[in-house]
This record gives sequence, structure tokens and C-alpha cells, in this order.
Amino acid sequence: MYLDLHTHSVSSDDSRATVEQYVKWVGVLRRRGWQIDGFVLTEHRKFDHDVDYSTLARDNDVLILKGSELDTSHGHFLVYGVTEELTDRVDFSHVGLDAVCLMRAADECGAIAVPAHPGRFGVGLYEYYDGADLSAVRVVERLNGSNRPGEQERAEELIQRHGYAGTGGSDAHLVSAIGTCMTRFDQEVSNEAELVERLKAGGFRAVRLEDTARGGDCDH
Amino acid sequence: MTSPTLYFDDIEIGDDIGPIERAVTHPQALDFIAVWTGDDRPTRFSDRDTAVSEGLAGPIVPGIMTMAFISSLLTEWAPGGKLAMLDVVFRQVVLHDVQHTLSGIVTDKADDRPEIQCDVFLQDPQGTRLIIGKAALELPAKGDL
Amino acid sequence: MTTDEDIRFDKDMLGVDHDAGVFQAARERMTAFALATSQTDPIYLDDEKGAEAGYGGIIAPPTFCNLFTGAVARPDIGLQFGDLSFHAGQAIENRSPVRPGDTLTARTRLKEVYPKTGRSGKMVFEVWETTFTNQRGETAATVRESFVHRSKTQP
Repeated sequence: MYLDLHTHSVSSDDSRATVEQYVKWVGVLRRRGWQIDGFVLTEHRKFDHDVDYSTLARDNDVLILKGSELDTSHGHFLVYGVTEELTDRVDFSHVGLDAVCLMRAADECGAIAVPAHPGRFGVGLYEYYDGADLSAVRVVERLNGSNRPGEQERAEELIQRHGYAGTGGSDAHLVSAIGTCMTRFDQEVSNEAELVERLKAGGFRAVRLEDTARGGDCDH
Repeated sequence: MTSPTLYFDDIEIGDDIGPIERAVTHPQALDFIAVWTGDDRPTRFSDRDTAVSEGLAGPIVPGIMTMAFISSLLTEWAPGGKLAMLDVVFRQVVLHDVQHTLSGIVTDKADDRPEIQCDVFLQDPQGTRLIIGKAALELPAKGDL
Repeated sequence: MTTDEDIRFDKDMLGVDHDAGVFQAARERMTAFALATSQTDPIYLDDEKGAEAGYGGIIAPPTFCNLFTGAVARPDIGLQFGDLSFHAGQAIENRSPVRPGDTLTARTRLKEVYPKTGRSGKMVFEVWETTFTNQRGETAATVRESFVHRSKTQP
């Protein structure tokens, strides 16, 4: 199945898309022949335990999961499987979180923290191999739909050097950007806990929208 | 205005808007600044040296001038339409004398009124989106919704 | 470091409305704006066409009120962060058309101040919202402006 693991709705300060509009756009993509099963909302520096998209998701046959994108000492991290225990332990609004502590806390709380757009200038992990113990990093966001020239190459270099597994996400801030990069999972994912399980176990890869045409799947 | 009226009823989510090409020449930027501030002191918008001293590659097009171009992209595409809202993010600067491409795509249609929403973009010749945003446009409707 | 530790500004300013000036929509400025931005729809330039469209004469192009924002009088919020400022974004919501001779009274308020990190390092965003009301008591437009502050040299 294909999931966009990195999207922002109007709940993020710099996004202009509503969740309902993303769902409509998923319909547009499907009518155009692309495969997309759902997306994860990774709002900047926050997590809302109460917001519930299950009806919208069910009515439109779109999986809508919730995560977060946090600002750390080692660039931005996507956090999946956020629990109340994790939000109690970590101040999501803090723009200088210790990345190593975040990864540990996430793991201890049944979540996973994954470096977002690792090749990005300024806020990608690529620039922060400064002696900190980054051995907990196993997965990074390989394909990001908002990369600028040079950033994808840095991400690839990092992945090759360290042997990381790679996800894909559009980093959509506008409706029409959703799904431009996604993650293809070999097994079904139906909730946040399963997403964490799959990301820890392997069996996924980063794809671009073009790769999702039926019969046209190819590796990156 | 020669384009025919575009009706709400005829629009579908996913429809393309534009593209149109726009390059702001240095004199055009100065004309705009005269209307905007009436101030001819050198700024990052009008003067190369000032712009360079601020770390820019050259003088830049004021953000609100680019918004006016995006507005015209929409109203030229839909004559008779009214721009209800335009909300943009200035991600990177727009330089004078460079041919930029403005485009949009319809992303939503309201259920209760003849209003569409669209994503809008201004990109440089390399395809980098320097400005992104969204807009809402009220359109004439053929009948009651 | 907490979120707010190194961002100092007058938090009492948040959400408080301030008088921000009175602006005239002069006919000459409206048409000059239209021409300077290649907006040549006759309803911006020709009274007869504007009247035919039901406006009683020409109207200003949709983003005209943006012109006033640079001259809006904003109180000093005492924000101390970085040494560079850029216009990060702007939103305009149009309500009533602006017509020649309109007097627009502006009220502005600080919406939010918040930090984030991006390609150029740590940044602080400052967001203002200004409403322009005409002499008939109608809201002509609401403009939200976002400014980003950062340091020339990042640590």
C-alpha cells in the first residue's frame, strides 16, 4: 500500500490545505490512475490527541493517520505513533529538542522518530554528524517532495554511507502537493501502531507518484 | 476583455489555471514602487547595491507586486470572477528581469456558494517555486447551487 | 532552552487592536496600480465599464489594499531577535470593492509571534492582521502579513 508519510494541514503555520481538501485531492489522484491509500498528518511542533478524522477517512476510503514534525538539534524529525506518554515527556513546541533524547523517548513510548528531509540545508541530518550518538537512526526520509536542488543528492549520500532504510513523503503544504512522494509498504498499515511496527521491521521503500501507476512500480 | 465568461458549473477540481509568463523589468519595478511608496530612496527593491549589501543577488520584485500578478493570472483565467482571497508564502526572492511562470490548479469547489479554491505558484526558469499560495475565487453560476 | 526563552517581545500586544491610520483610495493611485501591474480589465480603468459591471464606476484591482500595509502605523512590540527581516508571506481577504474616493480606516493587531527552524537556521515569525473599513462602515479588506526575523550568521 502507498502512504504519504509527510503532510501538513492548516494546523501547521505554513500550510494552506485542509484535511478535507487533501482527501478530495486523493480522489483526483486516483481518478488519474495513481495509487494512494492514505497519508500521515505531521503538523509542525504539535500533536493533537483529540482531533479525529476517522469518519472522513472511512467515508472516502482514505487512511488518515497522525504524527508530528519536530525541530531538533539535528534537523527536523518526523515522529510516528505519538502517544500521550510521549507528549508528556517531550515538549513538542520546543525548537531545539535534543535529537538523541527524542529518538530514545520515542522508542520507549512505542513511537519512532525519523529524520525528515535529511539532505535539506540547515535542517537536515546531513549537516549534524557532530559526534552525537546517532546509532538509533535506522530509517530516514529518503524522498521529500519539497527538496531543492542538491538536497536529494545529500540524502542519497547519507543513505548510502550509513545503510539507512528510506521512506517517502510529499511534505505537502498545499493541496495539490499531496502524494508527490510516498512510501510503499509490503504489508497493510491500518493505524499508527502498525505504522511504527512496519517502519521498525522494514518492508517498505520510497516512491514517487509516477511510480504508483498500476504495473509501473519501480525502485529508487 | 475577449475571453468568455467562465462559470462555476464548468470547473472541475484538478483544472489547470494558466500558465502565464511575467518578467518584471527594472523600470516596471520602479513604476510600481512609485505607486506603492512614492519614495525614491534606494532599497532592496530598487537598487542593486543595496540589494547586494543585504545578501541578495540583485534587486527584487516587491511581494505585493507579485501578488498583483497572481491576482491577474486568476482574473484573466476567469473573467467576471472575483478574487475573494489570496494567501501566499514568499519562499524565495523574485529578481528583476527574469521570466517567471505563474500558474494555478483548482483544488476545491464550495458546496454552498459558487466559490472555488486553487493552489497558485510563481516559478523561476529552473522550475523552482519561489512563491506558493492559495486563492479563493467567486465565479458566476449558471443556476442556483 | 524553552520555546520562548530567547524571544523577547511585549506579549501584552498580542490580540490587541490598534488604530493604524486612515488611507485615501485616490482614483489616480487606483488606475496607476492597475497599469503598473498589467491589470487591464476595463472595470479598473473605465467608469462606463465599471458601471456596466454594477459598481457605479471603476473599482480598484483586488489586491489594492496591500499598497497601504507598508504605511500602516504599528506599535513597537520590542521584538529582539536577529538582524535581518524579510516579508515571509501575505494574505488578503477582499470583502467590499474599493471605489475612488473611499476613505479606509485601518485597525491592526499582532496575531502571533513564534519560532521555528528552517534552511536559514532559527527564525522568529511575527504576524499582523490589519482590517480596512470604508466610510460606509463596510470592511473592504483584511490583510495578514507575516515577517521573518533571523540572524545574518547562524551559529
